[in-house]
Amino acid sequence: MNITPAFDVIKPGVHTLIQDLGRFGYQHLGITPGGPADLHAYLWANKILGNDSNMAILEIHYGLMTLRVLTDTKIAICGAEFGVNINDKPAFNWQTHNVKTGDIIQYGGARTGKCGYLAIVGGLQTEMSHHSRSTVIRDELSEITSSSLYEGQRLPVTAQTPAQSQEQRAVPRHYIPNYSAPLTLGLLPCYQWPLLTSKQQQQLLTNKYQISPQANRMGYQLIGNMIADLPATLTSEGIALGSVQLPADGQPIVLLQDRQTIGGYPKAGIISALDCSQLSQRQQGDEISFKLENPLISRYKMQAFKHFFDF
Amino acid sequence: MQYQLDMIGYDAILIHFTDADNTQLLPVIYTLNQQLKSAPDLSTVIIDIIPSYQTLLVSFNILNMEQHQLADKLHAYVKRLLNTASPKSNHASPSTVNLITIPVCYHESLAPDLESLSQYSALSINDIIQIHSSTIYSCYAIGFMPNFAYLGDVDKRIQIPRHAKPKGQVAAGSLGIADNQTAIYPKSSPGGWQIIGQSPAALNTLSVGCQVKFSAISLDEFNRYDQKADA
Repeated sequence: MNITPAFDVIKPGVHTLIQDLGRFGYQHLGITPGGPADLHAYLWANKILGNDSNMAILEIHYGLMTLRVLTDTKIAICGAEFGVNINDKPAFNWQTHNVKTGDIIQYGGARTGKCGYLAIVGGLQTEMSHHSRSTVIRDELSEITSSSLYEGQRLPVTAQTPAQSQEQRAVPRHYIPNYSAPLTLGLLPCYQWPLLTSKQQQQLLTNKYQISPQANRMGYQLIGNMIADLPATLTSEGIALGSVQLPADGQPIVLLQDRQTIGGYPKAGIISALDCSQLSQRQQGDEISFKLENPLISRYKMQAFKHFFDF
Repeated sequence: MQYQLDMIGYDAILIHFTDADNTQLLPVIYTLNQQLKSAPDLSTVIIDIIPSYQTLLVSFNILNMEQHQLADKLHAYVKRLLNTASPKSNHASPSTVNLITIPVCYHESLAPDLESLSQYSALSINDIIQIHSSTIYSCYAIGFMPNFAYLGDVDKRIQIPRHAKPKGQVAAGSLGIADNQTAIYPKSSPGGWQIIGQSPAALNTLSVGCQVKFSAISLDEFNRYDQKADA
């Protein structure tokens, strides 16, 4: 496979990461899976380019990134709305764009949502660590997978022989989420749910929560009326994506892609990967609530989602 | 031995042992983990297994198996294991599999909390080092950060609670005690454990079920230690 430079990083942006589907099979060593914060937008970016679902792309938090294009190719822009310009001309979100050597791709700040995705035909070909290109800064697995994008960095891609068609593909309108809409997370209760009193359960399901400043790829802390007298810390056990932890301070934490692999806080249950995607696009201060979800419905939705995106 | 299977969302199952102590459970969890990892009928199903003190969290690909089918299979594996090996027998014990010796320097310049442990325990520093380095520990869980291995049990005489507030940065390789557990920080990190020494070795060989012994080295040996030698 021929590798060719794709982009020079002129401005790295506030916090830009490389993500593929994630790092699986290593959680027993304490290595977190990582992977896209918004799986939905990530998968669309690859899909409309005809990429495999696991191809590495840029995950851009808060925007303000500038890239110089080093090859003639096609890119896709999905996720949060940043106001992206290609050579000073607005480039629409949720669709593909042809770019050529010397073009400048420029991101503004986030208007709606929190993280955006920039994919390229063939996927980024940065060095892998533990079978993944995903950046998880705190795991320090290798230099390239533990650092956000930096000025002067050169990003490689698979060389494309056939010229790219001028035809553009866009995500159908009704699949594009509204990241400003109020968000209700579907809770799938786990075996520790009965450890909560019915009053505590009702509080969790009726509280209006706001996203705290402690909200990142590891997890989102929510602030609402304190749930008092929660069960004490339990023996540490493996933690699944979307776990809703209830530490002693009575404020829930939803654990996301870069979560710790084990932990002992009591858990109400989990939210689905699709709800995690939505949550990751919400910002500090946004309102969040919970409702009980039927696990069968979540499973059917996720099975259909996985079939559609082929992963 | 009692256990239950708990459905975690739609794509994970927690195998949960409920009535045995952690020492009895370790060989069971170790062996079950090995068997599930190498199970031919589950090789395209299981994505990750996270073993811990009393549990194994099995996450799986929902396109390749239904949750209830996987639960049936896990029941079969657990029952077969519990029927063939009593938890106390050596049959399933990992002790013969893997004893890893880790060099540690307990010199005061690398052990900011050794003096206060000496006061807390009313033991001399030499006694503490002797006790800590003569115990064989088992690895019960790995987490918090990559390769951070929870080792136990620490001799009752030198147990001490963690700091009430986490300290700033703990140096990479630092050896800590928190109650009945001891662990090495594989990399520099904020941490609350009581630091009683430091290891110069790379720590990527530990896994749940392995056994660990610490060997005391001098400050001179620590400074001359070649990381590449243990690769």
